[in-house]
Amino acid sequence: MAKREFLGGFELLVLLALIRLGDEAYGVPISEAIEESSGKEVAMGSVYITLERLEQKGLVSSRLGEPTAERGGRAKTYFHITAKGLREVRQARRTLMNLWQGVPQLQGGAL
Amino acid sequence: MRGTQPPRLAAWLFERLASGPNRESLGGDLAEQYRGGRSSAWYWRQVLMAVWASTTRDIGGHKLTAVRAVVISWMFLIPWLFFTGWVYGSTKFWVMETLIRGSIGLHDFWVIYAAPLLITWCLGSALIGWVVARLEPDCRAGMLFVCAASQLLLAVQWGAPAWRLANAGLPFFASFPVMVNLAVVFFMMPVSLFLGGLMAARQRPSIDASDH
Repeated sequence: MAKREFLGGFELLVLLALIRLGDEAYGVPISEAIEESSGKEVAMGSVYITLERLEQKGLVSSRLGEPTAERGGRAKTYFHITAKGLREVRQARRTLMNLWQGVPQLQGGAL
Repeated sequence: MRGTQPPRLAAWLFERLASGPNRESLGGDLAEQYRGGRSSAWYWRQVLMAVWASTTRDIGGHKLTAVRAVVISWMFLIPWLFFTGWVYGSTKFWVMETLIRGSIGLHDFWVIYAAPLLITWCLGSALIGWVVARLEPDCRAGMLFVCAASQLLLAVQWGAPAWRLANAGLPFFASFPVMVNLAVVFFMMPVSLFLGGLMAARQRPSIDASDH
């Protein structure tokens, strides 16, 4: 079997947020999307570290936006999922679904 | 009333300790969220978590640099401890007979608590932090952390005698000075190192530079 690296749980959340947000994905909406879905506060520093790691793996690309006054003159960094990133998300979904079906305790939303 | 400016101290810490290629964007995101209604407590939490994330990334991604920073810090620390200890020991009796003659408070300060020695140790530690932060500006949080953590070895060295003293049944006033010394070595020296590192950090463009 080929050796490959699995996506981490938080990496998957970040990639899913990127897919949902499309071209407007930068730190604030990404962390808000994860917070709304999980109901937990997200450390933005962790979001950026995860994005940097995903970019190093070639799953995400980034571009620098224009600086704005409301951000204290600092630019946004926009992130975009790559084709390789999409493949990894699909693969992770398949893996999770296969495992899910083999766990009777998790069927029917009882837990 | 809550202003639009993020808490100053938190923003100051972020400026000096956060690292990484997206540091500027992260700072902008935090400012944007704060202006959008997030609380000061939220801002503080985010800054502390960002600094901690920078620290772990700095150490994990620069292991050799971390080793070098620790070696450099001990190359300064060991001579400093020996030199100040020698100066303190050599001048103690002269000071007792001249400066502090008849003053119980000054005697306790100088001799019992060895305060001048501990203060110079903290100053030396701050100087080490300053040097390390200057040498490693791109990953200063992680390097300051490993250097501060390495100084805890001193506390280990002091731990055994302190433990024996604590279990020797001595009255509180007799063991208290040693406990103070231990607290300085265990807590104040690493804190001094961090403060020295913070002082050394060059000011980068402020989060709210455009407001002024």
